[in-house]
Parts: sequence; structure tokens; C-alpha cells
Amino acid sequence: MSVQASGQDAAATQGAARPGWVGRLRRSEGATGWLLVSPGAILIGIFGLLPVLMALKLSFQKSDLLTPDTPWVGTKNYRQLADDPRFAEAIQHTIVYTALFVPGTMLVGLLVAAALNRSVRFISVYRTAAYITMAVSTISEGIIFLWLTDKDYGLVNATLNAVGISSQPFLASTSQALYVIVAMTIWGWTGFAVIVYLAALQGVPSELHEAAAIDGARPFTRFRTITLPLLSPASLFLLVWLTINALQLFDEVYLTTRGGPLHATTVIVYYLWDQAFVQFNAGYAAAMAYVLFLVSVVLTAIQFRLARKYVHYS
Amino acid sequence: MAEVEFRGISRRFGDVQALHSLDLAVADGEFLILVGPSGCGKSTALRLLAGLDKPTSGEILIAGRPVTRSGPGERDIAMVFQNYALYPHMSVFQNLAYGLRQRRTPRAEVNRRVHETAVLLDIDELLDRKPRQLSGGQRQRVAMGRALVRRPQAFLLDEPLSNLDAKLRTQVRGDLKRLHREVPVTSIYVTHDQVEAMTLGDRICVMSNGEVQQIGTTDDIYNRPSNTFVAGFMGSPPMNLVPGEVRGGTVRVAGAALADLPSPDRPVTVGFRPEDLRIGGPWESRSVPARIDFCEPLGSHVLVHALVDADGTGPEGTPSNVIAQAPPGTAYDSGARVGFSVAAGKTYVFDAETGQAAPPPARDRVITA
Repeated sequence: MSVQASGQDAAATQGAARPGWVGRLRRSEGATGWLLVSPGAILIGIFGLLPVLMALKLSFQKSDLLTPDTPWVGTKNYRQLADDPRFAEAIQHTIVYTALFVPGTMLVGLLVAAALNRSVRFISVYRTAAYITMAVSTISEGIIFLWLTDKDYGLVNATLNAVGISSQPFLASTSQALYVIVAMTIWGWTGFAVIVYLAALQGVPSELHEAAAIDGARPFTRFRTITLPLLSPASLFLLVWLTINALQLFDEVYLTTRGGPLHATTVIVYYLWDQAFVQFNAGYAAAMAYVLFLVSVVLTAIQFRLARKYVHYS
Repeated sequence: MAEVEFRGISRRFGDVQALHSLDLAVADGEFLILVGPSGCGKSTALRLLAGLDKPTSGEILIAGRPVTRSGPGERDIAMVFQNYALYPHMSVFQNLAYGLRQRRTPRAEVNRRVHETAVLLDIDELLDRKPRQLSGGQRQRVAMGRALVRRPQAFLLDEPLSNLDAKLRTQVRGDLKRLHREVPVTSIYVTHDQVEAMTLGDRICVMSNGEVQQIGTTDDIYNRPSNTFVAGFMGSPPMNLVPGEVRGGTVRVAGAALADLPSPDRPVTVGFRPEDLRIGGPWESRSVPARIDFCEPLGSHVLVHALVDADGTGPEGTPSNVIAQAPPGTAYDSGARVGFSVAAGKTYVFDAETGQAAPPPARDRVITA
């Protein structure tokens, strides 16, 4: 009896001191964590990371996407980018677009949000009207602007004609088309910017405005010196988000101008698509994608660096 | 510095009357406390004075000048908010200088006044810090500094100590008192804490339901409360208020005769403060019979909670709770029968219906246990 008991004790002691690998795995918090994140991690790996790595490989190859022959060309695709005048033109259009679209959307969004940040009758109706652009699909947005800016039947030209200004070609003009796309995308993104700014505005304590008012600051000064700095985290978020989206402009160009007229609206991603799926020059397009990716990363890093000085977290 | 005057100020929010025709004059350099429970209208009155809200009717004057229709920046007042409302993106220096800069004060003058104020409040080492880098007490001092630096005609303080812990609150209370002695600006201080009210103010204005209940010095408010609200609100623990009666010119509680009152026979509310009670046996003559509920030892004294018996019960038949302050070491078993006697001259009598203090004041019998 006593021998049996001591044998059981020994086994129990041994089990407690050195559990088997199954036991260790069962008790391991790390294993549970991996089990929980693995479905998401596998999906991201297959549909996110793998294409990124394959595109990187592709950027050093020549590929027409149709034949299995993809010879290694080294850095030729990257070197070719430096000498491509159409790529330079696309970069220029993308810079102009980004420089107008990002601050434009932020400014319009801020003004609309400031106007909606008050208690008046039917405020929820006004807010819904401001948000509704978020619910409009890019296809609908493109069709609306094609119709609005139509030379013969468009509402904008009808209005211009009514005040004595002759009809404008808008999307058919090499000098106007890019700006129409800027206006169209600002309109499309305003709802998003309004939501972000309105949420941020409602987080600014009313006591700060009251304290500033007692300190003698007038409404515009209060907005400039109190509200705006406290909106800086929201502004940084919009700056980064909108810049990344601006660099990736494609849908609106594809739907309205197809990069024209005379390449006047060809931006980087549209040119990339054209090279990959029209010219079947996939290796070159992949190199372009990587340059764009690096530019996005560098720009975002710069924005975050500047944020250290100009963004205030309360 | 200036006098501040509310003349018939009312404020209605929809169906709620937050202030009922408030008439209140604050003398030049006076430290007035507005005290009352939540929703009594004290903060509404302060916001109306600051110009952050407009009255439904009435007029506000600062230094004899009507300011009812002036904006907050035109009233030359400064306010310390409950959560301090420091500008989080500005340094302490910029917080202090903000008001001066809005008034186009020359740069050299701004620097001089900010440093002068910072030294006065002992925050001169903190001028480069942001509010988030400060402790609660330091933030409170910066908020005071922002108010002081402009040298306004009046200070408005909206529960400025409520975010501090108990120890710091006691210290800052002392600082405020010293500061007002050094810079005697007219100050209106809102609080719901009656200890702050009694220790800080030259005068106290007790408010309830948008109406002034009593205005007076700490001594007036504590020793001559005008009604049961003031009696029950001021003091910690508050005055005991139990149902009683006047019969044959004598104030009685649970059959015990406590004081003489030449008045017709009628039901009354009788008040006595915990520190004026003595606990003895229930058989002692002219003492109020009660049963011990529980004791709270607080080191310096013991609070004895008891229930007044028999006809000392409340209107719905619930026994009235009485608290007595007893010497340290006092201990009673729950349910023990005792008798309370009230110190001479310390019985308060209020009308049972209106709650107003009974005129003339009660002339107490000397009761010894």
C-alpha cells in the first residue's frame, strides 16, 4: 500500500516537474495566441504578403502575363523608369492631383464639419446630406460628373451659360480635365473628411472655448488658436490617408477620361495599369508599383516626422 | 476690483427654471461662496456672470456697469474651471500669456506679468511644460495663474478643488485663502462642499432649487440657519432634524422638553447639531429617548448613530436618525437604549410646514443629563 502510494507520488512529482510536450503546448499562452490569430494571418499571408513578394520578384523580370517565359532582367525595369517621359508626366499629374486633392478635401471637410458642429433644427438631415457622398460608389460618382460637366447637356455648363460664360469642355480639355477629377474626388471624399473632423470637433472640450472667450479671443481667433491645433491628430490621419489614396488614384480616371485627353489625366496608377494590362508589360508595371510604394512610405514617414512638432495629443 | 451685482436674474431651460429672480450683491474685494447641491443654480449663476450664458430676465452689473449683453471677453473677469480648461497644446507660459496677448499687451509686459504671477504661485519652474506634464495641484495653480495674470475686476471659480485629492484640497484651500489676502480681488466661488464654503468665504450664499436660501457669514449660516435646508446642508455631519411639537410654550421631542418657546401649540421640526448632544441613560429626565444604531470611530471623536423612539418618529412612522458626536473611546452595542440631551442654547426650532426658522429664537432650558 505504502509502496503504491509512494509510486503515485513520484509520478505526480515527475509530471509536475517535467510535463510532456503536449502538456506544455496545452498550457502555453503563446500556442493559444497563435491558434487564434492563424486564420487571419494565413489569409493575410496568402492574399497580402505573397503577392507583394511576387510583385517584387516580377519587377526584376520581363513578363507579358501571357507566356510562361519570364526572363530575369535585373534592375533594367527600374532604370527604364528614369528615362520614361510618360512616367515622368504621370508623376507630374499625380503630384498636381495630390497637392490639390489632399488640402482641398481637408479644407472642405473641415469647413462643412465646423458648420455642422452645432445644435440647430434638422441637424441630422444636414449631417446625413454631408455624409452621403461616402455612400455613393465611384462608378456613380463618375457618371454624375460626366453628366454634370457634359458640354451640351451638363448642368454646370447650363449654369455658366445662364451667367453669360461660354460652355467649357471640362473632361475633354487637356487643361481642365485633371482639375475636374480633383473636384470630383474632393466631392467624393468630403463625407469621409466631415465624419473624421466632426468626431474630432466634438472631442474638443467646450470649456476650452469658454476659457478662450473669457480670455478675450474672438470666434475666429478661438478657431485658429484652440480648435485647429486640437484637431491636429485628425488632420494628420486625414493627411496620411488622403495622400496614400491620392497616390493610388485610378477609378475616377478610368471611368471618366481613360487617362486622356492626350494623357492629360494619366496618373501613376493609371499608367501602371495601362502598362500591365494593356501593353502587357507586367515587369515594368511591377517596378512602377514598387517605386510608388517606396514614395508612399517615405511621404508617410515625413508626415509622421512633422507630426511630432505640429500634432498635439491632449 | 469691482462690485458685482445680480438684479432679478432668472434663467429658464425649457420647462426647468434654473434661477428664480436672483438678487445678490458682492462687495468690492469680497470672497463670496455660492454653495448648494447639484442643480441648485449656482453654476448657472456663475456662467451668467461670466457671459457664457444669457439670462431669461434681469440684469448683471460689474463695477456699476451693465454687462448683461456684453460678451465674456468684454466683462474683464477671469474664471477658473472645474477641470481647469488649460489649453493642452500650449506651454504653461503660453497658457498664462494667452489672455494678455488677446488684449494686445506689449511683449515685454506679457513676459513681466507672466513671470511675476508664476513666482507668486510658485510655478516659475514649470513655464516650459505642457499641462499634461503637470500634477493636479500644479494644473490648479496654472489655472489660477491664468486668471490672476490679467488682473481682472472679478474672479469666478467653478468648483476648482473638486478634482484634487483630499490632502491636496486642504493645502490648496489654504493657498487660496492666502492668495486672496495678497490679491484681494472680488471673488465668486462655486462649490457643493460646505467645508470649502465655510473656510474660504467672507460670506456664503446657500442656494437650493434656483433660489437663495440664506446669505451670511459662516457664523450666521452655521449658528443661525434660516430654514431646515440650510440647517441640514451646512455642517458635517449635518444638523439633526427631528419632528417635535410646541406644547404649552415648550419645545418637545419624543416627550422630552428641550426649550421654552412662547408660541401657540403646533407641530415643529426641531434641530440640534451632533456636537451639541450629550448621551446619557434613557431614564434621565428631559432627555430624548433613542436606540443605538451603530458607532463610527473617527480617531478624534466617535459618531454615534441612533434612532429616536416613539412619538419622535417621522411622519411616515419611520424613526428619525440622530447623529451625536461623542468623545473618543465611546462605544455602544447596537440596540442599546440611551437618552440624548441638548446643550443649553443649542436647540433650533423650525416651522413643520414651511421649514423656516421659528421667530423668535428658542430660549432653551438648561438640560443636563
